[in-house]
Amino acid sequence: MPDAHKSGLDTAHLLLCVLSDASTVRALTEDDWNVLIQVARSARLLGVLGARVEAGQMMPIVPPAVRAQLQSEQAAMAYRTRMVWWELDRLARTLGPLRVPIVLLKGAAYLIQGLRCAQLRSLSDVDVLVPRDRLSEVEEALLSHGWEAKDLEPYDDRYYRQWSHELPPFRYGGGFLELDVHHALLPPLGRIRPDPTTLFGHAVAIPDTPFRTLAPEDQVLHAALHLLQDSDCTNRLREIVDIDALIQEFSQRAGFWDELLEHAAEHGAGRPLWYALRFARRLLQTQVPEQIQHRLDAYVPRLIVRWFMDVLVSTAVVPPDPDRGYPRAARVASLLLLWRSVWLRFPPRLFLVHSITKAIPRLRSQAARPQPM
Amino acid sequence: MEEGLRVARFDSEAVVFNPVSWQTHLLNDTAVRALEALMSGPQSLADVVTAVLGDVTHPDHRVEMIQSLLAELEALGLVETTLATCASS
Amino acid sequence: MRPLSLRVRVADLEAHEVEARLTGSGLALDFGALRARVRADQASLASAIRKVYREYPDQPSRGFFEVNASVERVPGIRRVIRSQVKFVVDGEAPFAPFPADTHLPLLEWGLNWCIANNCNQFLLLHAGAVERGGRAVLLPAQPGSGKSTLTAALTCSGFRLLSDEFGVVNLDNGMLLPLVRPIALKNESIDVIREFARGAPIGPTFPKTRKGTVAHLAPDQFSVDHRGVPAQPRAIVFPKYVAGKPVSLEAVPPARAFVKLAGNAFNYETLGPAAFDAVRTVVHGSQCFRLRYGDLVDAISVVARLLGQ
Repeated sequence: MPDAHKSGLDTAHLLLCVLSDASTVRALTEDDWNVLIQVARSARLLGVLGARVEAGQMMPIVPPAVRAQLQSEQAAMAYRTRMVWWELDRLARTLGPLRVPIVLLKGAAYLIQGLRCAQLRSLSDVDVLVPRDRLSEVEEALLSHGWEAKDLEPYDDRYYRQWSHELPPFRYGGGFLELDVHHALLPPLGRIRPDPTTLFGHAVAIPDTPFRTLAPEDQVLHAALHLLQDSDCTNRLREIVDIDALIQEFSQRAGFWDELLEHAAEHGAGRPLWYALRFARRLLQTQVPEQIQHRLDAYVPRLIVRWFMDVLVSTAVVPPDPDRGYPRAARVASLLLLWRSVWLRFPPRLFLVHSITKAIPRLRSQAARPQPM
Repeated sequence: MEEGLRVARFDSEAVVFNPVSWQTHLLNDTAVRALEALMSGPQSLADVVTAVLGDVTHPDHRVEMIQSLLAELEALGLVETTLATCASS
Repeated sequence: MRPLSLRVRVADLEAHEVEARLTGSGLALDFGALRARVRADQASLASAIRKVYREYPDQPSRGFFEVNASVERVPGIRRVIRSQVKFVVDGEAPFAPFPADTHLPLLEWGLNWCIANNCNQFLLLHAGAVERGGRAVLLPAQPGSGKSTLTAALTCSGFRLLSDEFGVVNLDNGMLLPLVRPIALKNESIDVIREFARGAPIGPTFPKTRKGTVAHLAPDQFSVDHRGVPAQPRAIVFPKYVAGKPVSLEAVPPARAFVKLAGNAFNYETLGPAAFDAVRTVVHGSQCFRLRYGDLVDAISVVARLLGQ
């Protein structure tokens, strides 16, 4: 077991080892556990860690105080999951009568499909995809049935409605869960624009509910796109854990890999998929069949780009070191990847306007973080 | 009565936890007696009235009070009306 | 050189030794129900910690800690101009920074936040708790209750401190677990306790916090030494301080006490049925009262009587 106090990458390595193979906990000292719990918590993977330790039947050898902490997280995640089920129930009753196609995305989708990766997974919002032409109908229904729109600055509100692929977030009656209503998977002016109609076409209905989920291949693509096109990759091990878990679950199904490549080609999402699988293989040893990897290599980026992304993503994606925080390299990598994600979101002439205007609200919002009392 | 309902009885009042709604409710004496009447199994309205108010003929408004109490308990998910219990006495 | 002793307390350490721990691998603080490992990079905070945690054993900063936190100077211009400090837990700072001269309150409030958010292995009531003769009393927090002042006065009057902020309930058996921490006193309470217990170990005063002036009463040796000893709750007393009012004790219907305790807890909602069962156990085994008082001495003798002394 590597000396886990060395660096951010090492502490993440410890977490990744245990997530891949729960029996690694046999070798852990209490010092290691102390680091592991902190790292897992900061990566929002503490619940998943507990689930994997339990599934690997390793709980009996976990020190009692550590076990209590894992069980504490289990209780918290169980409560959140319950809240999501209630939100889905309310959504079904509010939007069901409208007969609008509703596709659940990410965590809520994993939950409703009963996927293994949904177990004790940390959820803080519910994401849904609806057709763009039904957006205002949906918004009206939500507002008149107890949901409240988040109070936003006029610039941010305009930003959402004009440039973004989602409405400003909703919250039901003062709860802590956010509801994000999307009309596309990625910003509409971005370089990759998966066609919502195609996505709806392949969506799978969930029996006895008005909900659908994306086709399994599209769920994997969405996770890849979300990580590579819509985020700054900072402290996002969780997304890679999701991608790995989805592949483990879905790759059992006949035709999955072929469909995945086909859909990727259709949506122009080959490159992000290439990256996502690369990082998943590197960090979690996700198995990709050789012939599939060969076909995927059609999307390989230029060496210099590949190198940059390797360095930036692997530096930024890991959670901060518990005692040292984010090293400078990670902060720089995050900033560069943030610019990259904004760049990918807009055509060039809008990019500069957004960058400048957004810099000021971001500074202001940093001052408005929660207080401890 | 809802399965799995947790009841904490204190003298004439009770606190009840509904595992389905995850809500906790404070019940006064009348509500507690109504709930307890239903603990042994489904009862007719008449039986509930007897259990709560005693075995005499009751003026209509008191029976109505029990009826609306049961409706409230149903709204909270603590009890459920089945067809048999709807039969009037 | 100091002779080797099995039980070295923080008070026995030299200032530079405490600083060394805080700037190195951390100072271990064992509260009883859980442990924290604390780091800090300012000498004045080290000195304040040395005062308010004086009775705590100097444990190695190895092993598992429920909370790993630090208070660090904000870098850059904020190191020099209106310098600030931030509370860091698990490698990140969850709140906006505080002025550097309110570092100990920030540490204490930050630790509270960590416990309230991450320790769902217990039911966490928002209440003070003290014990004497094997019987414990819970003092639920409400605005205007003077709960902390009363808890502090009780601990200065021979009652064992279990906790000021968190009534930690064992989910398996309804017992109260000690979570011994310095008691945060605000504004007038500071002088009240100084008057009440001359020589009480009160830490430095911080005049400009969000809650006014704050100072911390260091827990006494007995309470710290018995932090591993759970206590049976026997009374729930809702205190209400009213200046000049003669002391009065009124029974509270237990079902109401239940609902108030549950409504006030940090994680009742999260724990659901387990929390319900724990509160039921606590309330079933306790007498419940409302206590109105204008004088601490009267309030204390009422509590003493309640606990059968």
